[in-house]
Amino acid sequence: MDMLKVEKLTKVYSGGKVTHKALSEIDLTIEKGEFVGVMGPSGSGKTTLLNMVSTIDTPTSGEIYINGKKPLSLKKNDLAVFRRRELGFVFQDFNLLDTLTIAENIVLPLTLDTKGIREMNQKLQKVAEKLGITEILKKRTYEVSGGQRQRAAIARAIIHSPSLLLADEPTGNLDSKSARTVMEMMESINQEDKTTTMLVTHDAQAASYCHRVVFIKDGKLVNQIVRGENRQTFFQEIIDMLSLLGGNAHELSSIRV
Amino acid sequence: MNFRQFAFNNVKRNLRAYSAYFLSSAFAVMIFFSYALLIYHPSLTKSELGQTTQIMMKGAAYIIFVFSFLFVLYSISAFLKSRNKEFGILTILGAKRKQINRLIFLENILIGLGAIVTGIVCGLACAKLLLLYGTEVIEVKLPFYFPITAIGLTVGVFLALYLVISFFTLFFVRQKKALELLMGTNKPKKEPRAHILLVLLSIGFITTAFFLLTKKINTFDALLWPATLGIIGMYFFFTQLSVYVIRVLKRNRSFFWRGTRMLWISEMAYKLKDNARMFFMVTIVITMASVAATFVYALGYEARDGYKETPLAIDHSSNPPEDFKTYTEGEYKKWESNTKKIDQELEKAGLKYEKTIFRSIVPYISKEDLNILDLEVVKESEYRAVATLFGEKVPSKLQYGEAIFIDSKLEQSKFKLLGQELAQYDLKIVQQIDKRLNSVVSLVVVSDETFKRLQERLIKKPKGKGREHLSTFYSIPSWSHQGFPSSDSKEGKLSKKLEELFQLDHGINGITETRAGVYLKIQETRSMFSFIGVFMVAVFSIATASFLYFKLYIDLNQDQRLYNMLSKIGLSVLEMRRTCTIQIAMLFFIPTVIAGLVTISVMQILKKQIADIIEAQNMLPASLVTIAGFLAVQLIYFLIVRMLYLRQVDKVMVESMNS
Repeated sequence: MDMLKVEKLTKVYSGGKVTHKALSEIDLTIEKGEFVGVMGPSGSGKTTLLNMVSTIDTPTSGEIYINGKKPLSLKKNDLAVFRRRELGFVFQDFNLLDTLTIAENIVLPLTLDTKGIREMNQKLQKVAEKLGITEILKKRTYEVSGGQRQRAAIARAIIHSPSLLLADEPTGNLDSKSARTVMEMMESINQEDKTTTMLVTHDAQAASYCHRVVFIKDGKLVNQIVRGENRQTFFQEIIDMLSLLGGNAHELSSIRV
Repeated sequence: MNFRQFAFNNVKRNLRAYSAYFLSSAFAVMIFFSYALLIYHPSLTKSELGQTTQIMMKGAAYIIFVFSFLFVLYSISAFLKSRNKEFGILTILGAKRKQINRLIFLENILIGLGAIVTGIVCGLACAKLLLLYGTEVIEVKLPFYFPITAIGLTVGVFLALYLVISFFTLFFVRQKKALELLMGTNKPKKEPRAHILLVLLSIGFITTAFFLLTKKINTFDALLWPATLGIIGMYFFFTQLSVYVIRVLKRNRSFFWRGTRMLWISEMAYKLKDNARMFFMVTIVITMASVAATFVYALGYEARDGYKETPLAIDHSSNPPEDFKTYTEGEYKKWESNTKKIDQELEKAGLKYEKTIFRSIVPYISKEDLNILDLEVVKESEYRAVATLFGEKVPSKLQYGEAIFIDSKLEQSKFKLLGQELAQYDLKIVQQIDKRLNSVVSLVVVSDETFKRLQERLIKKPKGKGREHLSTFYSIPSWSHQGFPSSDSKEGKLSKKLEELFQLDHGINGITETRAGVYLKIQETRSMFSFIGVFMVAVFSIATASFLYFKLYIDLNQDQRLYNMLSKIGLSVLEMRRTCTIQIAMLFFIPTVIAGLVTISVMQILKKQIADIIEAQNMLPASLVTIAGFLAVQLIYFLIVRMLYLRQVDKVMVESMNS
């Protein structure tokens, strides 16, 4: 079953006299339980694609189906509720609220939906254990490390069991060790809970945890590679593909094995 | 680009960031200037009424000046905080501390000068309106003039203020390290903490303050203690107790983890701590303004009630020296001929009148707590002539030793004291009539026989504790109308003339008091108070509103980032609006509501103490009207600020970014 289906998605930015085609006729399908990476050089349109799927930007033309629903046809106020229930977000800069504790940050999507306190506590304990952050639940955001913050952000993104987990450069602000832990967490969440995940990244290392990586350049889907048995080989294939696409060398992260 | 140019360009090209600070400064200057403009008005300095006004206005000017000082100081500390990052960059680029200090100093002086010029120009533009309003209220003609003195004073005072403040601000940036500055406002905030001891202290202070108010207050110092304690208690209330209360709220998960509550309560906890000092100041200011306004308002009730309750239009009474005992027949004749002058005036005006002369006894009151201004014992036969004016039946003949007490103002507790006092002279109160003859006199009516005995005992004896008193009352039926006299009505004019007929002096000539005259005098005082009061209340409420707006403006960038992120994870526009509305509403209404509660409690406690000036029953409605007025004004500001704020936050919501 398709969890995400994108059909002929086009986005044209027209700022005054200059028009810029950020995406042109993209087709992408992600099946239930799949873990898909989206890669491409800067300005290729990855973030635009992610924003469309996140429903926080609207396409010029094309259609998006998430879990069989069409978010583009929803009304404004229903959209927020749709995002809250169907989607989970992980951001590069964590976006946790400084005013709340880690636990409060994690349950935020549920409190907005006014769920029962017992249900919230149960789910909180479950995700916290899964992500290994039970110890820091009572701490404040600035009292924990970047890796812990990102794990808390992931916990927040999956506490309501979303149809689709969207991650935007989740390792971008982390050191290599934390980055690896975070990616391992995402991988295990995907495997154990069958959470469909779309990951947008620059980081070939991070992308190598995916089942499949699609490449975008100049707003078009140019290629995709599927992971075989070995993650290390997959990583090498990603690096090769990136250099083939002609992304500038400095945009590739250094090899960290 | 030299350094001075850099400072100048900084201000010139970053006007948006500086505008809030600049506008609030200019506003403070404008208010002060308008004040000075009035104080030094040539026609105000001449008139007698003007002099009293001037003293009060000068007091008000000091308050305004102190307030502007705090206002500007607060604005600049908030303003500098929002520019921490800029200072961090400058430091990293190698600017010396001295240079940054100089930059801030130069900017301040630049903004200060700009604010002074703008404030004075705006003040001049509004001067005509202000003077027109002044003319209307205090009934002294105030033509427009070019206020050299006021301009000079304003420029001098505010230049000094900005110099001092510029030095002050150097302390704000001094201790911070470059890294801290660079992190600037992005630095995560510490969880606010409250100490249980300070919370208890706060409760203790406030309770003590209220307790002290219930004690007898007869000096200004006695009022100073509860005021000081109350203010300190209030400070800890906001900085400690509020945080404590919110922490307790947060602990209750089933309350806290529900809908948007979690968002605004936790935000509120920070804003409370951040704003505690401002909350405190706003509350104190509103409380002071409300208490003052309540007095002014109650005074109005008082004047009208006094007029309505006084049945006799004119009262001419003797004003003998302390050791005076009794009048000779010759003096009595002179008294009668004096009152003829009043008769003549009334006849000249074509008014019908009835005249009664009271030859009464004023006993010395031994109990100090019984502060009746004028207690007069009158003969039953003389009283019968005026009794019908009260609309009361003429009482049945009094027995020996029986007395009727006539006053509408005496409280129950004092009534007991009065009974003890009269018991000394073997008098017993058998009836009380809740009316009054005029604003000062309380009457005790006794039978003619009893009166004679009292005369023997209190006056004829060389050491008798009393003196004789003469008063003439006039009842003028054509003046017994509904409504109240204005100062240029026939009644008002003639009343004033009669009051001037006999100058205030001791002895047989006596003084004349008229019902309309008393009413108009209270009204005059009241309009003077209310003129200053309205000005102050307007200033304070506008200032507090701009304080709050300033605060929101400083936090706006941070809030925009927050709501943008929340919007991505599924906070709807409606929920955002609800959260913001609750937060802004709390900023605006918490100080007002608390100030209202404090005002009402203070007034309710104080009403016994000031019962001589203002009747207790008039206090509560006056407080309520004042608070309602404040709430209404705050509501308008709230709606405006909320609209402006939501417009800014709406922009960053995902839904509105798409369209």
